[in-house]
Amino acid sequence: MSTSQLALLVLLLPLAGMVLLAGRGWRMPRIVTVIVGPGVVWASFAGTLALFFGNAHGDFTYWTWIKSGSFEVPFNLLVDNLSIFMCLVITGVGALIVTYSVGYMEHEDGPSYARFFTYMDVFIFSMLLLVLAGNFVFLIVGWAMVGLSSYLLIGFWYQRRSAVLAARKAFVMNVIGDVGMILGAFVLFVTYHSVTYSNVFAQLNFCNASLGCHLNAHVVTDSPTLELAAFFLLVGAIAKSAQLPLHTWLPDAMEGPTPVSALIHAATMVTAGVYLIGRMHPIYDIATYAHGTVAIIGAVTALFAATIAIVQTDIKRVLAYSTMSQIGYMFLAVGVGAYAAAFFHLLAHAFFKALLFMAAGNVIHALHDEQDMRKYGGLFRQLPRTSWSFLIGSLALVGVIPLVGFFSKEQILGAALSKPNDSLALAVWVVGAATALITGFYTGRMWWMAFGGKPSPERALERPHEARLVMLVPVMILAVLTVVGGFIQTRALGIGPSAVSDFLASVVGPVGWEEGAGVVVVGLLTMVLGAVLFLAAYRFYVQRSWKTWSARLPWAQRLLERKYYFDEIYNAAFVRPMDAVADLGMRDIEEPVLDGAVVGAGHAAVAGASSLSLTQSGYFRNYVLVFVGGAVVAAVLLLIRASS
Amino acid sequence: MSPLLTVDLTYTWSQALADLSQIAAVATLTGFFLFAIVVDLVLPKHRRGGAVAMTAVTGFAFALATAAYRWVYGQGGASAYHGFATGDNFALFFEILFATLGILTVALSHSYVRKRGLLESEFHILIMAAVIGMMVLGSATSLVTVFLGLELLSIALYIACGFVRTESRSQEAAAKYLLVGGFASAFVLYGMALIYGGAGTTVIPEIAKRLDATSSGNPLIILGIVLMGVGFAFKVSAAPFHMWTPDVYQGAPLPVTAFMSVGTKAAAFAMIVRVFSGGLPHLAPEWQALLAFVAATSMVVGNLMAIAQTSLKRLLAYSGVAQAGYILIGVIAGGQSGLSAVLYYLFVYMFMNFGAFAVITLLAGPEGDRDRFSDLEGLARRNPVMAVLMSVFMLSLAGFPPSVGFFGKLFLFTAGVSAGYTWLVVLAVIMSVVSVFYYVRVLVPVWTASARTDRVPASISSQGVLWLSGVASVALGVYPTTVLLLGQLGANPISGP
Repeated sequence: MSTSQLALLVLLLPLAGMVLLAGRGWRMPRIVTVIVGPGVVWASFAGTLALFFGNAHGDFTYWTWIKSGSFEVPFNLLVDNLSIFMCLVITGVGALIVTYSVGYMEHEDGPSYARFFTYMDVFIFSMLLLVLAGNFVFLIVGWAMVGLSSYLLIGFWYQRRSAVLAARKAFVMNVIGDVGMILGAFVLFVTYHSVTYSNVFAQLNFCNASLGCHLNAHVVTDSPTLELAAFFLLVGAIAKSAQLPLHTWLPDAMEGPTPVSALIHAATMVTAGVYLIGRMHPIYDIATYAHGTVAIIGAVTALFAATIAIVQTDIKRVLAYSTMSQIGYMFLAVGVGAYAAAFFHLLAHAFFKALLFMAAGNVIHALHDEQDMRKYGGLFRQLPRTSWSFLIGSLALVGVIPLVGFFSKEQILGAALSKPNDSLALAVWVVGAATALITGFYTGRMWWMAFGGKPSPERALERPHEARLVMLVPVMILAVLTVVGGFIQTRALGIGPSAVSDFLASVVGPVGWEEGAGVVVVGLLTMVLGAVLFLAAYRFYVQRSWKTWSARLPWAQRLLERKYYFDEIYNAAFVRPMDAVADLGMRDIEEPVLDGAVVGAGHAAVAGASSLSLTQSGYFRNYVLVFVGGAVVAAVLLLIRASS
Repeated sequence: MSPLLTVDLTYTWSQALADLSQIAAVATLTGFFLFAIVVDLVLPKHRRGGAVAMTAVTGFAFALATAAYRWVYGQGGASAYHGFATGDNFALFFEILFATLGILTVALSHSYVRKRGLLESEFHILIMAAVIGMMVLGSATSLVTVFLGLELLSIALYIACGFVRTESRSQEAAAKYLLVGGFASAFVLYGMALIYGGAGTTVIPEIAKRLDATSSGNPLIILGIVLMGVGFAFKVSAAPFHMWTPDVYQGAPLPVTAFMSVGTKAAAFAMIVRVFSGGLPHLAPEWQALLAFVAATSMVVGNLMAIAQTSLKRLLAYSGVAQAGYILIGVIAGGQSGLSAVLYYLFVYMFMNFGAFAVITLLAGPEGDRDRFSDLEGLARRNPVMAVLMSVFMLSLAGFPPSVGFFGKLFLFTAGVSAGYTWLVVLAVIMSVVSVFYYVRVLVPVWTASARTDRVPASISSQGVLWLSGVASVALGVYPTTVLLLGQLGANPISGP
C-alpha cells in the first residue's frame, strides 16, 4: 500500500466506524459497539505508526474537488512530520481514552451507548482531517466539524439543562473562531490566489526543496495584509484553544462525560490552536505583531487561569482551568518562536492531563458522580491505583523532575528566558515562571483536598471500589508514559536527546538560539519552588494549621470565584444588549415590517401562481393559444433584434 | 451546378459496415428490440413479461457496453451515411446516458406494472423504442435524422402515456400529448424546411459552413430558428411551451413519467446542442436571444407554479420546467465550459429526478398512483431508507452542497457568468432560492410524526434503483471530476460557440 493510500485510510477508518455505529450499531448487540468504537481508532493508530516508521512525507492530491475559474480546491492531505506527530497524539491518546469509555459509559442504555461512540469516532475523524488537511478549505471543514462533535459530546446528556446550555455556549464561542478562520483564509486567498498551504507558503518564499524551510526576510516583508490574515487566524486559534478572551466555554464544557473532557477538552481539540499557529508559522514569522500577540495572550491566559484554579471546588473545573493555563504555555512558546518546545509540551500535556482526567473520572465513577472535592478526602488508601496515577499526573503538572511535565515546561520557559534581544520574551518568562509557582499550589490543593486527610463526612459512600480493569489499564499506561516520556527530550537540562525537536525540525525549523547554562539552574529553581508550594498546600488544606489565605483576603476570593466576572461582563456587554435589540427588532421591525413583507410576498406568489393556474385550464385550445402566443412573441423579439 | 447534384452515390459493403459501427449502440438496441417483439409473440402469456424485461435489460446493458467500449477505445468520430449520423463522443455520451436510464426504468417499472395489472411486455418494448429514438437524436447529424429520432421517441411515448387504458386521466394525457406534440413537430419541421431552404443541405456540419453571420439579415432564416427553437423548447418543456407537462406527467403511469421527465429532456437538449450550437454557430446571437427569453420565462413560471401544487407529480413537472431553464443557461453560454456543464447536469439530473419519481412510484397502489402530499406522511417510519433517499433527492434538486445538484448548478452558472449572461444567472439564483420552498415542503410530511404505520414495500430491483440514484446523487457531487471530464470530452465534437 502506498503512503498516500495509507494516509487516506488513517483518515477514513474512524469515519467508517462512525457510519457503521450510526447506521446499525444501536440495533446490534453491545459487544459490536465495544469492538468497533475503539477498534477503528486503534486501527488508525496502527496506520499512523506505519506512516511514522515508514518515514512518510508528501502532499498527496486525491482529486480536484471544485474547479471554478481561478478558484481550485483539491482534496489533498499533507503528510509531514508535524501532521504525523499530531496524528500520533490524536489516535494514540484517543484510542486509550475511547477504550476507557467502554467502562465509563457502561451505565448508558444501548442506543445511547452506541451514540457516544459514534460521536467519539466523528470527533477523531474531524480532528485527523484538521491536522492532515493540505488546504484551507478542508482545514476549515475539519475545524468546524471538531466544533460540532465537541458540541454533541458536551450536550451528550441532553436531559440536563446545564449540559445543553454549556454545549450551546461552546458552540457559539467556537463559531466566533470559525468566522475568524474563514476570514483569515479568505484574506490569504485574495492575496495569494490559492487555498493550498504549499502554494501560499511558496509565495511567502519560505520553503525551498533543497534548503528546507527557513526565514528569508529579504524577500517577504511584513505587510498589513499579512498581519490581518494572521490576526484573523489567531481569533480561530484562541476560540478553539479557550484562550482569553474567548475562554468562557471551556469550564462549562465539563458538563460532558469525563472521557470527553479528557479527549477533547484536554488532550486534542483545545490544542488545535497551537497546531494552527505552528502550521502557519511561515506567516507568523513574518507578521511580528500578530506573533507577539500570541505570546502575550498565552502568558496572560496561563496566569489568569491558574489563579482561578486556586478557588475551584469541582475537581473537573480545576483540571479545566489548569488545561487553559497549560495551553497558555504552549501559546507562549509558539509566540516566542519555540515551536518544537510548544509541541513537546502538547505531547506531554496530552499524556498527563488525559491521565488526570481519567483518574478523576475513576474517582467520580466510584463516588456516584460526585465532583465536589470538599466531599472527597482520604481516598488515597481506598483507591490506591487510581491515587498513585493521579499523583503522578499532578506532579507532572507541577513539573517535578523527572516527569515529562518538567522537561516540556522548563524547555518553554528556558527558551523564553534565553531568547536574545527580546524584551517581550523576557516579560512572558516572568509571567510563565510565576504561573509555574501558582500551578504548584493549586495542584497541591487539589491533591490534598481530594486524596489526603480523612474522608469527608458528606461523602456519598464509605468504601468506594476501585475501577474496572478496562478503566484502570489506560490510566496506568498513561502514567507510565508520563514517567518515561520526558526522556525522549531532556533538552531542558542541557544534555541528552531532543527527539521531538529533531523530528519536527523539518517542518517548524530548529530553535534559532542557544540556551545558556544559567537557564538550567533557573529552571531547577522554579521546579523546587513549585514543589514546595505543592507541599505547602498540605498545611493549608489538610492540617489547616495556617489560616487559609482566603479568610484574610475575602475580596480576592470572591474575584476568583466569580472568575474575574467574565461571564457577567459578557452577559452585560453582549448577551443582554443583543437580547434587547432582538426583542426590539422582533416587536417593532420583524413582525410588522419584515414578516409582513415576507408573508405578503408569499401571498403574492401564491396569488400569482393561482392566477397563472387559471391559464392551466386543461383545455387544449388554451394550450395552443399560449403556445402560439409564445412563438409570436419570440418571433417578434428576434425579428426586431435582427432588423435593428 | 448545385452541389446537391454532385453527391457520390457509390456505396460499398465495407463502407456500410464502417457506418454501421458508428451507430453500433443504436443498432444493438434495435436488434434486441426486434427480438423482444418476437419473444412477446412466441412465449405463453404468463411468461412474456419477465422474458421481455430480461431482454430489455440485456439490450440496454449491451448498448451501454458497446458505447462504453467505443468511448474507451476511441473509435468514434467519423461521419456515417453521407453525414446523416455519427458516433462521436457526444453521441456516445448520450448513448451511455440513455442506456443507463433504460435499465433504471425497466428495473423500476417491473413491480409497478405487475401491481397495477398492466401488460408488462408491451410496456418494456415501448420504452425500448423510445430509448432508440433518444439515441438517434444523440447521434443525428442531419436535420432529417433529427426529425426521425424526434418522432420515434415521441410516438412511443404517446402510446406509453395512455398505457393505462382503463383510466381516463391516462387517456387524456396521451391525447393532449399527441395533439400538442404534433403541433410542435410541425413547428420543428417548418423551421427545418426554412433552414434547408437557406443552406441547401440538411447535413448539420455543412449548414454550419454555409450559413455565416450575414445570414442573420435573412428573415426566413430567423423564422426558421424561431420555429425550430419553439419546437425544441416544447420538447424540453420550457415555458411558455410547457403547458402540456403537468397534465401529461400527472396522467401518465408513474414509471413513464419518471422516464420521460429525464429522457425526453436529455434527448431534446442533445438535439438543441447539435442543431443550434453545432449547426448554427454563426447565428448564435439570434438563437441565444431566443433561448434566453425561454430560459428566463421557464425559471420564473416553473418555480412560481410549483409553489401552488398539491400533487407531487405536478410539482415535479413544474420543477422540471424550472430545471430546463437552468440547463438552457449552459447552452446559451456555450463553449467547452457551458456545454460540459450541460452534459454534467443532464447526467446527474437523471439520478436525482428519476430517484424522486422512483420514491413516488413505490407509493402507488393497485388502484392507481398516489401522489398527494398526504401519501408521504410518516414515510420516515414506514420506510426509513426511502425517507432518507427522498431527502437526498429533494435537497439535491434544490441545490444543496455537496450533492450533485449544487455542483451542476455551480458549473452552469459559472459558465453563464463568464459568457456575460450575468442577468440570467442572477435571476436563476433568485429563483433557486424560491425553489427551496417547495422542495423542502415535500420533506415536511416525510419527517413529521404521523399515525400511519403501513409499510411501503419495495422490490429488490426498485431498491437497487433507489440506492443507485441516491448514492450517485451524493457521490458524483463529492467526486465530480470524472463525469465532468466525460462531459468535456463529450462536448468536444460540437464546434459551436
